[in-house]
Amino acid sequence: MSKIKLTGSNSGYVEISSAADAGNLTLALPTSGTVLLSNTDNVFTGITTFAGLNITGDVTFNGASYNVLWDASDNQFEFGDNAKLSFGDSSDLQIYHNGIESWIKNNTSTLNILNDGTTQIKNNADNQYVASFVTGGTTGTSGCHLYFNNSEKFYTTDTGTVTNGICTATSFSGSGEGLTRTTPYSHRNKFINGSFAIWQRGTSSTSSGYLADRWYFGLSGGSGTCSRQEHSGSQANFSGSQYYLRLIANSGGSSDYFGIRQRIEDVRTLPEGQITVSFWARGHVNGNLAVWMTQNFGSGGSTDVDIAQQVTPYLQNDSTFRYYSLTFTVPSISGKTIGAGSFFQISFGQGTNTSGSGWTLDISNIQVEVGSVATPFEHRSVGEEIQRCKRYFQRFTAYGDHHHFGVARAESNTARTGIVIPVPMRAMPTVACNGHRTFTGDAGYNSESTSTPALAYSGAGWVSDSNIYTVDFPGHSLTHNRMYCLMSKTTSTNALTLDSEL
Amino acid sequence: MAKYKIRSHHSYEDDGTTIKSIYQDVEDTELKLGIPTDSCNRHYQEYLEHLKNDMSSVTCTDCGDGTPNDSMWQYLDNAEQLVIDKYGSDSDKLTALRELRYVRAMEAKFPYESMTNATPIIDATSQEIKDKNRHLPMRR
Repeated sequence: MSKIKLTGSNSGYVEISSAADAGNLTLALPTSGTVLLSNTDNVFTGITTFAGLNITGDVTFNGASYNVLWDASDNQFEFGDNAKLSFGDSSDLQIYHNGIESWIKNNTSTLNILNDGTTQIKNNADNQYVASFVTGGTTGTSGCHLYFNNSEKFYTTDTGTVTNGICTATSFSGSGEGLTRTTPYSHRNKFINGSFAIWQRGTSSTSSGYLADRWYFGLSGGSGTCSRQEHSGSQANFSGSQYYLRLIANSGGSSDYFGIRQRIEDVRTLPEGQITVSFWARGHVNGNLAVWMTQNFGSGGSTDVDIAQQVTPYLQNDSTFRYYSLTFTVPSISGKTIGAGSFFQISFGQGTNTSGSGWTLDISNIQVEVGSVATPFEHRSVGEEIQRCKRYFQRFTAYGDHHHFGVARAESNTARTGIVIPVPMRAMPTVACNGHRTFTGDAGYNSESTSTPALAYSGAGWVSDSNIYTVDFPGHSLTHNRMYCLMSKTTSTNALTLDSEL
Repeated sequence: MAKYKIRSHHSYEDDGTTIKSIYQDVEDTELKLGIPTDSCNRHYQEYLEHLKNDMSSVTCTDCGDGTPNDSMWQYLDNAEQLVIDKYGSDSDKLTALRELRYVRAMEAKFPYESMTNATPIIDATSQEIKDKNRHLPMRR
């Protein structure tokens, strides 16, 4: 067999080329025992047949700007940044990474993802769901499921959708007839006078006791002042509330549990489960402002149950009221004996902090409601609020002048009259009046007394829903069974008060 | 001056002197409050607490109709004397009062929860009343 060896010059090359019009250039090798060699005798391998291409090792496809590599050792195609996997005649579907983000981009018509089972979108670590899409009609499983931090917040059902948590919208379309709530729109706030609109007893005090209606100011061994203040400046319109309450604990006279509290009638008013206390506050409290609670089961009832205090974040001592909310868990009252006069007490103040440093707290728009979510403050009109307050305290003003209490009949030397009250009270009230006078139609002034009046009922005679209470004003000089005009004493500073607070 | 005073208030017949009915309340003489004997009234509850700790701070000059009631006059040191003054030393009201106090002292009920308060009552009770109530367990 003859042999032909073509050898190029030092600077040139050897070329075997077919003629432009000759078609293929064929290099025929024996079926075995022959190889194509490079100039250093490296073997061109992997070219086994011209009917297919089998390449062993890495292959780089060089693009104009971006390359694609078959990385044999990693067993994967590696598209460089911006090198795209493209489908369709017009690059209709592209998959690529641009160096910052990854993209699946469909340019034409619909992108379909077909799956007979569950389609999931999860985090990179494969341990948190973002979304899952389950085909079929299995109740409780099938449907679209959306998650926040691996917690399912929204899913579709055969009847609609379910949202777990707060559903916020800027508008709502539909009749809303089928909407249901577990908490009411109104009457959410179980506190009375949470806006501090009503102050029947006065507007400032340095003594323990009720001051703002329904709110008890407790010094707890310390000293300080509780007073009414008015919203002003940029916060003059404070959710419709005119006033707020200010507590000043004196330096060196402060004490643990210094603060205010309200006793909500009937321990059952705040049931087992979560309740949320919310309010606006500013100022400086030793440590943090504490909120604590007690279930009281009334006269002859079970022993009190305390609910551990919680504290707000550190209050910022500037001119701005800030919003705070705390959620508590109310224990069950199952098995408890509930007697008359039970209540649920909620307190605000220094709590268990025993620091003696002075502090100041401004607090406004206090609300407590059932549930774990604090809703906006439920504003009530002054008229509505004072009616609620009068179930617990009523004051018939007589400061500095005569005030007509009513027409009294003489029960011997006691002037017995009926006081018409706007709101029946919670229980038999304590009566107070510093001084009273009687007058007659013919003779004018008749007598004066500073004896303490009394509610003219025996315990069995009390009618809780009555609108007129009989009150005895003793210590006068009267003629039995005659009628007298009963008035306050001119210098009386305490008027006539009926107190049925808890 | 004692902080509390049990008061009797009267209703009269037309003559203005014959007593028709009586009710009692408690006056806080310091704060000048007329406190009804209602268990739901907070001042009344405070009064009861006060009574437990210091019965001497309560005064009473009239036992009303002589029947024990929620004013608690029946537990004051001078309760028996009040009944004697009004109804005599041989009245059924006096016997009933003594028995009531003895039974409550034996049962450690208000205001005799402590032995300090109960012992003088038990010791002063006649043997006749003790025999009548011998079914009561011994106070410890």
